[in-house]
Amino acid sequence: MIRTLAALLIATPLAAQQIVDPESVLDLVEGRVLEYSAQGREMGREQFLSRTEVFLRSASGKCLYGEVSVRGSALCFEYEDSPTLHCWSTFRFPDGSLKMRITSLSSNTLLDLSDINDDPVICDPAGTV
Amino acid sequence: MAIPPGSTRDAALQAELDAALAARGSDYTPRTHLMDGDAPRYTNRLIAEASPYLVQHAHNPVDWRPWGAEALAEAAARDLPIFLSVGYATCHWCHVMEEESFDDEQVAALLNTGFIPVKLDREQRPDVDQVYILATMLQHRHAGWPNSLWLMPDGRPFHTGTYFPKPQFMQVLGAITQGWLGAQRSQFASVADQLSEAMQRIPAQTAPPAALDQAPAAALTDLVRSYNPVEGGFSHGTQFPQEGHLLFLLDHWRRTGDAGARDMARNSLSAMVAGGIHDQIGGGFHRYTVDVNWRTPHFEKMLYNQALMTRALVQGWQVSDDPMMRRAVARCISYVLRDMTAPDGAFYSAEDADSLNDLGKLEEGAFYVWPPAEIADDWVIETLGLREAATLEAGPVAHLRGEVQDIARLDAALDDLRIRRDARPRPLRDEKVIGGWNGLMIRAMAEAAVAFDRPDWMDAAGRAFDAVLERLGPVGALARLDMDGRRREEANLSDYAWLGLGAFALGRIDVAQVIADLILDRFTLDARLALSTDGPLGAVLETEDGATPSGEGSALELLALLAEAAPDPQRDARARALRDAISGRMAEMPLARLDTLRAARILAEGTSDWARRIGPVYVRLHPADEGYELIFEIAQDWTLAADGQDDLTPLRIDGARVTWPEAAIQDGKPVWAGHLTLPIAGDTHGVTLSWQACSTSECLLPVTVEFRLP
Repeated sequence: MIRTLAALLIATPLAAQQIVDPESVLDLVEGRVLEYSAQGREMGREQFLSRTEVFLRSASGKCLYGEVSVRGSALCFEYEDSPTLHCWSTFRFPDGSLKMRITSLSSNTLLDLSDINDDPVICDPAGTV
Repeated sequence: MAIPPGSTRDAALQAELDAALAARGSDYTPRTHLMDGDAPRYTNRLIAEASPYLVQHAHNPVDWRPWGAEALAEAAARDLPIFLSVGYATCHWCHVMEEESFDDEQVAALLNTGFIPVKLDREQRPDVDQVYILATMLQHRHAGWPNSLWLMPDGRPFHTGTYFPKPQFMQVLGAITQGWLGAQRSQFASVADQLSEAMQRIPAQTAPPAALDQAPAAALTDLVRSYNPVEGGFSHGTQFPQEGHLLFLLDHWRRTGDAGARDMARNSLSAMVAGGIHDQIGGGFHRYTVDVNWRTPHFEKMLYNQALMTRALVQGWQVSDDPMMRRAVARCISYVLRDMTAPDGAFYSAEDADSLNDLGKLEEGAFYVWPPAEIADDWVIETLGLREAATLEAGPVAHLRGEVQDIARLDAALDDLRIRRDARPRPLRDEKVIGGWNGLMIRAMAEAAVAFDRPDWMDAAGRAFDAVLERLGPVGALARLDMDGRRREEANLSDYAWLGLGAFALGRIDVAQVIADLILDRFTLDARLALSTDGPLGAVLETEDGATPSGEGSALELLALLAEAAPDPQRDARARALRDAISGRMAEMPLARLDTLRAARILAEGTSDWARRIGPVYVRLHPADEGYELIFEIAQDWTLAADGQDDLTPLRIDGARVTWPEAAIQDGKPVWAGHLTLPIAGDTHGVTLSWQACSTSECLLPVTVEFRLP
């Protein structure tokens, strides 16, 4: 589904990736649940409660609230467990897939945006610990 | 000295630590609030380390071990999980967590009893840091420093986090201790399996080799979308200098004449030069600003930023002829030579953001701010924007408001302010000498020396290179860092690559070749190059260029430059194979690998810089009183054919009027040899040079190169 939606965002095909406007990403995910993965493995689910509030379930099972803001070409998140701002840009790849690149770290920062759905976000209060 | 709570020690270790503490000397100030009289209550193994960040934690009641095989072996022998805390000297929240938790005896007791506590300075082992920051990001979808991880005894992580307030931290420690001893251990092992598998697979992801001809345009499209047309830079929030972006854009302009690329770089540099990110008083650049208009810095000053900003400003000046960029280069290098240089000439790593304020408390920016009341000259106050509402609690940050009409007056005032500022308590200086970071600065200083005809800078760069080899060498067995004679860690790929580029910029081509061959020998992993071969989960591959260029991209740049300067069929083939191996990922997302893409373009098309080494010819373009001049240095025993040699391509310059001197005659033939300066003039945006070099025994193929002019 995400590929179809992504394809609607930018009609012109390119040989390489292209940044997707963060407001367009918010249009896609507002009120819905965004799934992250790496190499096919789920890495977290995030419910966009609104365009400014999220509820993240990390791979460890724990959940936390965060605030979202748009900063230029990036979406930035401030989570309740972390004093720093985490920003990422969204890219559309030639095959239509979407990936996020964390711009507040120096490397190893690509995750797949693997699905957008309405499945409930179920938390494990203790996580894996 | 007391034994840390919950820990045990034999007498030999205790004596060793006592001796290490005594060896620190009488000037040493333990950083802890746990003192018994004048002596620290606790001392742990970090007292013997070379990293100031690690030594800062040497008196925590946490019985820290440094990262390494010994700590992992101890965890295995005692069947305990490892608690790994990764940070760096100028990381604010690392210090908060230290004060709240690591310097707390209650927390220490939990850590010392149930874990092998390990501290790592990410600047000492960037390869290990890279592996574990990925673990945290995979588990939480966000990550940062301090990076807190719980590892199986073999180093595989099973739980991660960043900063924890003390109550939550104690809760997690208690839960993991209980889980480890009880039924959850297999669950921890299972998470460790999953995480470590993903951690190994992601960096090793490959994509089929791809043509890179579309990649620069794709990168440019993304840079345009990220660019802030109002403030410059590539953010609409926190602003980092993003030197890799700037160097790519300037290279792109030199290759294509794309004015948009040039202007994004030029405007960003101008905004930084005028902003608070630029230490207007002392020269040099802070790491980033918290605001979009470059006004309010996070004040730490890293050596690598000085190096990369110097390079970007030299190239920015070449396209703009902006005297403020030239001045910023000179002030940055003066700062490095004055405040960041060891007596032997090597460069230190960083200066901290915090220093003691008037109340004797550590405060960010205290050293750097200037309340207007402390300056008598109203013009200086206005010029430095010190009457504007302060954006920082400590006070106003100097920045330039509009065009400065009287630079000489300003510089005299700034000299006076700097001398007065030097009397304030200075921020902590991180005096470790990191090989790679020195390589970056050596290269930048040498290139600036060529651009601005400053032999004194070239001498300083050469002296630094010699000092680094003396401290960390020999070149065949480089260490990564040294402090006070304590060498630590083997040099990684980036250390070798950046020092190789430094050697190249110094004109020490033989040394650069030795380093390039060592790189290919030591770090090759299939066709790619690993940052290190001894990471916690095996070889560590980089996936992006970051605040600094990746080691892999820098190695490619070194190989590409050598392919022009000193061609070697075998080495050049390895360079092409490396380029091909990473081309797929580069083509997919060039924005993440701009430094590497720039290196790939050098390999394909040759360098675009204003100073180029091409076989036996070193040619540089230089502004002159009227127009420019091209300066040739032709290696001994080599000549360039001059007009009149019908069978060879004579030296020819198209696109400008050239004032030719008389050619020499050798063996009855007209040639150019040794040093040759050619003034060029005319309304031109570029010149094309062609020549053919010959020695007594051979003639090389003709060469054609282009120099773009602003």
